[in-house]
Amino acid sequence: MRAQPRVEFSTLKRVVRVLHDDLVLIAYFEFVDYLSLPRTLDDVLAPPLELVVVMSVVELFGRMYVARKDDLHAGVARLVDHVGDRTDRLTACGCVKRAVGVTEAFLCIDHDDRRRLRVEFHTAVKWLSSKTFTRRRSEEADFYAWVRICGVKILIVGAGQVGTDIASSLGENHEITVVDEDAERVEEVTYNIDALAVEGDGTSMEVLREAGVDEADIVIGTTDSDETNLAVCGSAKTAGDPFTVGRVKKRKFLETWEPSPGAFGVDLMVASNVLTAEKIARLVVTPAAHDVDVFSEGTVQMAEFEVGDDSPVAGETVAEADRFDSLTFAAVLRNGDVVIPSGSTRIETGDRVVVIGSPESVHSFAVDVAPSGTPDKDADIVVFGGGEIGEVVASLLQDRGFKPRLVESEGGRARELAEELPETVVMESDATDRDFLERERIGDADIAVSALDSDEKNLLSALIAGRMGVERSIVVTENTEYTELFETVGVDVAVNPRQEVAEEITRLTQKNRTVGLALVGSEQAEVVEVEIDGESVFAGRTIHEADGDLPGGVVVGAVSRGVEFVPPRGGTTIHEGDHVVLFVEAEVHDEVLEKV
Amino acid sequence: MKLSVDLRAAIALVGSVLKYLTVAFVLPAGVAVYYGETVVPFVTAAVVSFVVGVGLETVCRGGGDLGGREAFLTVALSWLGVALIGAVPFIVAGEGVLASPMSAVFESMSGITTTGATVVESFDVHSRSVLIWRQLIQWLGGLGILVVATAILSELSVGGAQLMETETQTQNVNKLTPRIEETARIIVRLYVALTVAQTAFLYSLNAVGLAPRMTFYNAVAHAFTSVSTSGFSPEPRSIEAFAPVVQWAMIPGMLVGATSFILIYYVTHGDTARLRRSEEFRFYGVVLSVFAVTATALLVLDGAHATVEESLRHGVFNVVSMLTTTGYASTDFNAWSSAGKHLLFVCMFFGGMAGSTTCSIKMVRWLVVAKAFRRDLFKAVHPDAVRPVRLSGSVVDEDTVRDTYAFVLVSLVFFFGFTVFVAVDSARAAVSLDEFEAMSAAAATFFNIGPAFGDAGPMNSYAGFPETTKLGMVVMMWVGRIEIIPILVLLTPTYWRR
Repeated sequence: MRAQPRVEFSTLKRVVRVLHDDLVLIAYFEFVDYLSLPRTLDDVLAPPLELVVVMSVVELFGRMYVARKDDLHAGVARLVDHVGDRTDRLTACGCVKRAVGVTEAFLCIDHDDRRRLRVEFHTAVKWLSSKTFTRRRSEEADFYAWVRICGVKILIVGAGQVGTDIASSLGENHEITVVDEDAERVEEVTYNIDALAVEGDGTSMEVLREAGVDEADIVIGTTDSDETNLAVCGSAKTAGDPFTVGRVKKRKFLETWEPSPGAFGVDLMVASNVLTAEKIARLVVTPAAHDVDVFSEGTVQMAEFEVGDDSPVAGETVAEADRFDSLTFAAVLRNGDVVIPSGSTRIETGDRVVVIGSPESVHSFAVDVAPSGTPDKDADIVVFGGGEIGEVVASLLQDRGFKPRLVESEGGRARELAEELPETVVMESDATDRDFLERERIGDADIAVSALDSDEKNLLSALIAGRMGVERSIVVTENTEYTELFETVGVDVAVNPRQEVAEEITRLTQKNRTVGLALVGSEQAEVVEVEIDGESVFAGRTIHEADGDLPGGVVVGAVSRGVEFVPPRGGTTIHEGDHVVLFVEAEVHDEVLEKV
Repeated sequence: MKLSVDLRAAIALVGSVLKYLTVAFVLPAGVAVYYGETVVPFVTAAVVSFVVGVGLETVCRGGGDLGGREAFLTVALSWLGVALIGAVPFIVAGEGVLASPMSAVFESMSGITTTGATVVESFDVHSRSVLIWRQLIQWLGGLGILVVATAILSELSVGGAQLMETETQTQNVNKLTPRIEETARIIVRLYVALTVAQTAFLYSLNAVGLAPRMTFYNAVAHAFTSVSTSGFSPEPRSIEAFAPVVQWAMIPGMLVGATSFILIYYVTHGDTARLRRSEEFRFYGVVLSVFAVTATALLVLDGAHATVEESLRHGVFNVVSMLTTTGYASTDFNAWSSAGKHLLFVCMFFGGMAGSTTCSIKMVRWLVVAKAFRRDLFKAVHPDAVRPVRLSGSVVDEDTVRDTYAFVLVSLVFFFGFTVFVAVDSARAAVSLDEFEAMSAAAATFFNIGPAFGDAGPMNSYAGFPETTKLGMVVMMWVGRIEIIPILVLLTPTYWRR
């Protein structure tokens, strides 16, 4: 038998997101020395488990590799048949575990000194998955697989787009019950998704009981009505003690909930309008970006850029372009293909590059990659539509020192907005009124954000604005299917509130420790953020030194010092007051927290 | 026809005001005793005041609660009633011009409205007790307007009161009492404290030997009329009679009186940040500085005064005096060049902050008008823009903006109309008066400034005007002091009907 491989690993940092239709959701782990976790192969193979993994070797913020889903598929393609299931990603993942030998082909393990590995998940591993993974280790191969535990009882109220999405992506592995008032929808769910569907009012206790609320581990309120969703969460809390997730549109509920989580009986509140507006504001301030996401309370950013003619990085190799501190080139998207960049990969005009790093480095990269499009405080930004998304966008922009213009067609609402937003110029007009647009010289604007009440109006207003000469258009689309279409016909960025909701739920479920109840089985783990005080084993020592005093099953994931991100290396010294993000196994949880 | 306004309640309250006015006669009576003068005028007035007050209270007993409508009537009648009773000591004392009932009422109304326009020609004939009554009635007028403006009118949201930076205002006009009492108590305490401080400050100048003429009597008398920005002085030459240091020392008193008492309240409670935050206060500072600098420059250029210090002192003092609607004079500015006089004339149209003892149009209204007009200019370029007018960060609602425009316009119309009246009436009585004198006299009385130019200049008096003009002035001082609206409202039929 081979010697026990000494690969260790650290915390799941974060499920990053779906990069592209073609790309997998990325989560990355850091594998650190000395913390080996002896497990047998049987553990890895113990059903039910699905997943895993492409690993590539990276140094944290050194380089990130991304695999195309096709590659992932290719590695396991023949096994899919074997399982006899649909070749969706879940089954493909499922196959991985059944063919550990084969997986070696695409699990690439780093043997350099740092042994830092990144793990990429499959697209279909939706929000819940990242929380419910636990890790296993193979004796035969030098990797750890992350195993997802199945059988969580989930009750979803509201079979709309989001509800159905969640149900279908989780349905095969969990016991899903969907409640909806609409008979047609219920029928649709019954036929299309492996879930129990109950017709009835989700706010009625009787209906909830029938749907099994007493047994449920997770209850998700995702109807179109905010009030119903909150009522569902509230009712569910009285029936049992499920983890409740409430989706709301209106900001006022979030404003009530945020200072006192648990209000309305909601354990996790996701406000789509606010999320969408925040995303738009990030896009506005990051020139040329097609997507920007933040992690670790804002200390880590990830952004996707289009490289224009005038961009200095056009024509450079990645190695040449790699002159930004703590910035990683994760991927290059070219003609719909994904190129995993090596140092010699040449960045061409028209490429999209995905970078990960500190917000400052991402911003300086943005300024560098699109010198002409850098918005300064005088940037002319027009927001069409004074709905809640438009309002929050304008208010976020004015908080950052911009003076946006906001166009709202309804007089009373316009007045209200004008009173709320002192630094914003509010105009009362139809966003597609050409006379108005010409009179106000909307064509001179740098960025137009369309947040009207329908996708069609948004598209129209963005196209008109584009024709008049607006440099960049950002559009809100309610309909998920339009996102891509809009970007094809000339909109620069389309933002979908539903996708923002899905991503946010992913993030929040990871962050929220109470989600622990969603973990079933013996091997639970948590990600915790700890402020280091004088008595901590970390205080004034390097991570390497401190590790010696800690039990196995704990890994330092990230260190933030004030608002700064500190890459956690073995030699990194941790000071008092630093925040350390730890991945901790449940069984050593108490011990670790005491020492830390 | 049944009256919709509760006359009984309104008049009973006026009765109470007059009843309490009785107490005020204690001070001049005391002064009379101290200086060995006759106490008869004040005893008479006190008796009249008490009898009328109690009489009105008794006759009109059984009225309901005081509401918004009644408040207008009460405010208007209180000023009128106090002015009439305030004239009694002058008439009874029978000294000089003031023996004439018309002149006595003019002097009394000028006092209670904190105007400072006087008909007194020779100060020697008046006893010290009558002169101190003249000062005291101004102090009471300042106190009255503060209480009315900050506590009552702000609740009714009329006049400039809704622009005042108070705490949240209630719309419930039926439950005025608790808030009025609380606000009034705070304001009265502050006002008394400031008066005491001013007296002590002025007298201390005398005590250290800098101001021989600033006796305790004068210190009290001037504290009364500077904090209330009203401007009577027992000295025939107004503030010119005092040493330069006293003239400088009077400036802060007028400035404080022209500052919003609500703002002063916050500042005395440690919240100095409010001063910086208040746009009205900043505007007040800027306008004041611009006028003061210009006046000083004019005086230096004209060579009207011997030294630069004098030019600066007189420039600043008289601009402050006019702008704060006080009406003191540190020199006879009648003798200034035409440019200087016109500059002071323009000052009359400003006034201090809302919620102060000053009169005239007030800074906040000009500020709102300027902001609203700037907004209108912006809208001329961007017709679709929606842009609220903001004052110190909070939105001024459009009704208030419109009211403010209207008030400024109505004030100016009243001013011009009254100018015509003064000119025509003087011509009728064959009193020679040029148009600048007519305008300044109209503005000085209607905006409650006090001294005008020409015959009604700071060292002269209004005695020369015909009786009818004086009567007109009495009415205009009254109307101007309570900011037009409460009196105009009384003239509308709807006020009286249901």
